[in-house]
Amino acid sequence: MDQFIARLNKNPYFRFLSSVQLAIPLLLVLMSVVAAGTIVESRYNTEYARLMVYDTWWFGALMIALWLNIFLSTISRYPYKLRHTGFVIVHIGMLTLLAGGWITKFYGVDGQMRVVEHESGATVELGDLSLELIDVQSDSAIKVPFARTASRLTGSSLDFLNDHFNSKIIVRDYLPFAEIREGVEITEPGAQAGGADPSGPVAVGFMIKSQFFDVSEWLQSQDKPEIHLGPATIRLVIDSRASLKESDKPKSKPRKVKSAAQPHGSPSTATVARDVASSTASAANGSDASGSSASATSNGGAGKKASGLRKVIVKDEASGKVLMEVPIEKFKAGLQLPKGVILSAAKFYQNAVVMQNHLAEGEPGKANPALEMTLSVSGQNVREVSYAKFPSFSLTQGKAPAIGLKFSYETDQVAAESVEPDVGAHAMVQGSGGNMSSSGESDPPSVGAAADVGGASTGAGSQGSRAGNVIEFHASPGGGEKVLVVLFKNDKKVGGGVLTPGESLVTPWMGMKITLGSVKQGSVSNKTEAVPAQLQPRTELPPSAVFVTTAGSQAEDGFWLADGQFRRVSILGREYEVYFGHRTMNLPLSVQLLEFKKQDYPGTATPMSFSSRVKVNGESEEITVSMNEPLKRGGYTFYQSSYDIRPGQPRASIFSVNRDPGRPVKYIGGLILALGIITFTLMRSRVYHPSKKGAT
Amino acid sequence: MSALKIGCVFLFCLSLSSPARAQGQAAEHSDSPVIGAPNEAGMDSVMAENTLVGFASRINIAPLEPLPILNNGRLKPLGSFARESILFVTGSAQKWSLDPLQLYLALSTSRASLDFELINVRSVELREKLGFAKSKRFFSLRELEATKVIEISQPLIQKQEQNAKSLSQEEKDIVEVFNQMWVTQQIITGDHLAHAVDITAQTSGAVGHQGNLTQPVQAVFEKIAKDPESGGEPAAAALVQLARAQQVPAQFERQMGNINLEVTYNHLRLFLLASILFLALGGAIQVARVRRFLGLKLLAVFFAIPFVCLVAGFAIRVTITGFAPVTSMYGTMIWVSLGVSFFSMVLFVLYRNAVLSGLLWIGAGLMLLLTESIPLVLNPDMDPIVAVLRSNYWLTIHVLTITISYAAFTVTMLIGNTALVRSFLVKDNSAFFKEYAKYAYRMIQLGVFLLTVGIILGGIWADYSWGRFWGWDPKETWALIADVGFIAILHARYAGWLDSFGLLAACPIAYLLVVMAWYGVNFILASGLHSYGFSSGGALAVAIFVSAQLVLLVSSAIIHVKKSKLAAH
Repeated sequence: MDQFIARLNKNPYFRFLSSVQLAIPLLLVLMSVVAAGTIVESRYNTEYARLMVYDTWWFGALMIALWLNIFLSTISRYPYKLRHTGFVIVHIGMLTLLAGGWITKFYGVDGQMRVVEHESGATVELGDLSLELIDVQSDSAIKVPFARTASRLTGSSLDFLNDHFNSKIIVRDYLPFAEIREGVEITEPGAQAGGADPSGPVAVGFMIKSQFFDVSEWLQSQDKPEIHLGPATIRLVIDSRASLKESDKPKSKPRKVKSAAQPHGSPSTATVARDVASSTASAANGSDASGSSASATSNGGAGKKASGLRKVIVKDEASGKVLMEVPIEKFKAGLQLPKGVILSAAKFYQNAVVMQNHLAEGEPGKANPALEMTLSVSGQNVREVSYAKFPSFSLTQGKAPAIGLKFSYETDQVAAESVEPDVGAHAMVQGSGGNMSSSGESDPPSVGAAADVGGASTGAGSQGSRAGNVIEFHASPGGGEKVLVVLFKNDKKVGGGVLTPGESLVTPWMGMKITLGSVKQGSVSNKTEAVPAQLQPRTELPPSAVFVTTAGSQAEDGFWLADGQFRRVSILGREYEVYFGHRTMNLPLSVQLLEFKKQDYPGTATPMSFSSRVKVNGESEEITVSMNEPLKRGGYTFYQSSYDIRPGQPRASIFSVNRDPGRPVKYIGGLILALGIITFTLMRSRVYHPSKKGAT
Repeated sequence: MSALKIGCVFLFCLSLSSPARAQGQAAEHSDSPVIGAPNEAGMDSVMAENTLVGFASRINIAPLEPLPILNNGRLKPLGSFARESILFVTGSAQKWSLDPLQLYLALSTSRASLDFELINVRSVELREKLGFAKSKRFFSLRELEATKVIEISQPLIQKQEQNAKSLSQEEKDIVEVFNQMWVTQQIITGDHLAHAVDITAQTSGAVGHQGNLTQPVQAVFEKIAKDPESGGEPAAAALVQLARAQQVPAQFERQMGNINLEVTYNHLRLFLLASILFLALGGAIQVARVRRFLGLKLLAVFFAIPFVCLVAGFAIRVTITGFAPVTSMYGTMIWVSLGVSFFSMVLFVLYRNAVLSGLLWIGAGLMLLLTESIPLVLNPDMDPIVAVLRSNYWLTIHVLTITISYAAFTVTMLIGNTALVRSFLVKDNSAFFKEYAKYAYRMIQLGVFLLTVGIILGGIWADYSWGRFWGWDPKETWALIADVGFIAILHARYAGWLDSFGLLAACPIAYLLVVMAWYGVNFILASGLHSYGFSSGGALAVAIFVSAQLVLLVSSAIIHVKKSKLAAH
């Protein structure tokens, strides 16, 4: 061994590779490269920095070079003398630590798992991408995982994918960052059938624009006759009457606005209006952005007097019998209400608007009085909101803990107001009549987030009914140019008009502008286009996308699949599904989320802690997973990493799921390294000791 | 009016532009001095300002100082709250040489006008954009209200809500000015205090009725307006008592008990005291006669005084906040100063070099002075930390270890710079360089040890808390870069690439990496998971430091090379 090392040390290549003269440049290069990586990260985001720097082949090569240099320099000193002790320990520690890192990288699992409250999860989403071809009949699949790269791939550089699919599908293009344009393609039957088939399907394209959203959508009489768009149901009706009579027009002529119709709009975006009062306060409270400590936690509503309110009437929920009447002066925190309910807090709004599931004082002049209360019943706090205009609304009805009370009140103003909610932005009472998924707790005059709207629907409006806001497009079977638009409010016709493509009309509620795009006869299919996306600083990366063609079809018949999409195709008479997205892994266990809890620092929106109550594999034991208290099961560790709380949707908890076989190696490496440096520091180094001469 | 402008902004604008409200306010305490009422009795704004300052300086703040306030998730005395608010608005805690609480109370109690030039618009570009002169730094509410700043800030606030990181610096500046205006307006109407003192209303979940503290607050304001010397007594004492009697959530009970301690802490200014003592002693020790006169043992005693101040201040902060002050730049600067002074004593015990220790005291003193003098950049507040950092001793250990390594590197930087400066002053430095290179080498070893251990502990903490040991997060990556930088110096010394002077000159260079890891990641890169300390400002000061450092290095290197050539001949 000694001789072998001695011989190696005579080799000039070995001497160079094991030298400190190589080590220093390597260290400097490493420093520069990772410094650049942090700048990329701050400019864009973590994932982009990984793709551009840390996960590249050349960065791997640099790390291997460094490892080899350390390794060779360590063995080149053999046989070791006492003075080498620190040196050897430090470098063995470093080698072990790096080796542990590689074990983690190649054999570890690091993914995300999103579990919705009251549901179970067992699938982890990993960082890699995967292209999958699933045979629908036999349920067998070809799955090809691959690492996301930052460069576009075309042609033969995609062979690593195509080689696996036996030419059933061919990937022709891979875009690392794609801008997805969802559109529709209309196949007009005219070419084959020779003339329009009067019973064929009709498609109507339209745009709806209001101060809250701007949407382009399509309806098609066969496949998609109805959509629910936040506050309204939009429906396409094929009218058997050949032509649209003038008498269908409502007496009051709607405003017609000429506007340029766009064939395809951008992907639907619902602009979310937020309460500026609360956002101001939270902007000032925000810990990161402005560093403003002296911010006001001031609430916009504080200091306003509940001038319009005279007295609060408490009724029995079931019988409607008046149990108590409280003058407003006495309606304060601590008040004992019937049925053992205690009033903890109350706030009155003259012009309530709902913002992000919270009430806030809105613009004066659009009176919408509301009383917000916190009630304490058998030690539990519940929130209740009572609107002057919507007496049937309740947050607590039918929910535990039962209160059994119903609140209403007398105000100075409301008596004069019409009960029919028809005032501008506050009109969306019934939402889409129960067709939206019902959210747990949101309030009726939902002007806030579009997702908020309609969540609080009380009546279950069945399909086809005209409860709530309904927009109907009546088109003639032949697909003529003209379309009759009829607007309903709770089954009452409130407006409408005949439109030709490019024309608009404005709804009497909400001020939505409806523009007719086009009317076509034919079948409609979704068509997704993908183009290279412009990266935006400090936002999430755009999804990647692949362009796939199936066996026997032409290149232009292919289709784009963006991250997370799949498509059913027929290849040589067999049905398949093609899926492109993040690689997923099934865990050998399942985690059921019973409850997600988030606690803020009192008086702020800064989360203090969040935790999930879970059950594993349906066992009876309940486990709480919180920020620093992970769940360990079957070699996997579940960390509470994030949460997903959106108005109108069930809460979801996001766990980071992790299995790390490199962990002990890294810990041991770290320990050795630390011990080594202590030894190094404590043992007198030859270098600075002037009595002994020179370095090795 | 679009939906964006509803709610408070509307009310805000309303209350700003309507004189009715301001007058209504004044009518409630009609005996109050009339200060700066616009165009009243021909009083111009300078005179009004003088009247305000005169009135404010008469206010006795003692009775109200310990009033408990709930703000930013923490109970704090009014003294701290007023300082933070005045600092935020005016950019200085001593505007017009007034105690911030005096100014705060003067604004709330007098019929203060909207014309006082209180609001410090910090961005020069924004001043220009709003149509003001570049050199004008302070603006009145009325002036700002006349600009489009309210209008343009609204969509930005919305944008910030969605993704705080997506705001550009310019946009952040606009939002900041809007928030400053908001706070100013709230202070002037008195709502600021009335709301903040109402702990019950703030913590009861749903926003309750106007709390029952509104009247007592008004009473105090009226009393101060009539008789500022009284400090609002006896109404002030009643208010303090009422505010303290409020039902507070369990986690605040401990903080309620610490209110008086914080008032004392605010008065003592222990860090400033330590700074002055360090500077004085460090300077004195440089004089040979003083050294001889004092003797080495007495020197250690003198060191102990500022050191104890520093430790005491640190301990009080820990007591008040309940966590180690390592989550903000201010906290780590204090901790590093503590480390530098501690290492100065370690070196003194090892090498008995009083001159060196004196130099390090000057360094520690300067660092403390810097920490105390730019509160806008190095925010001294003690507000709570984000969820992930709560009550975790791994965090504390890992950050304390890493930042104490920064102290060791600060020592090497000070040693290195001493050598660089000396190369201008003294002809033959070879013996000095050799000796100081030894100290620097030892401190680098210590620093590398601490930083490496700190990084590994950070990995363990990240593993424990997030499930990954290493994730190339900018903060951890830059700590690694600084570590590798100093490791490269050690290796270069071993390889014979750096002589004594080279080692000494390399220390301040590598220290720039520490500055980047410590300051730059939070203030310049501002991304990643370690986002608790993100802030802005101070870039100019750091840029000056970096360029001065580079100039010093290059010029002294030139001189050194010249000297070496001469010596060789």
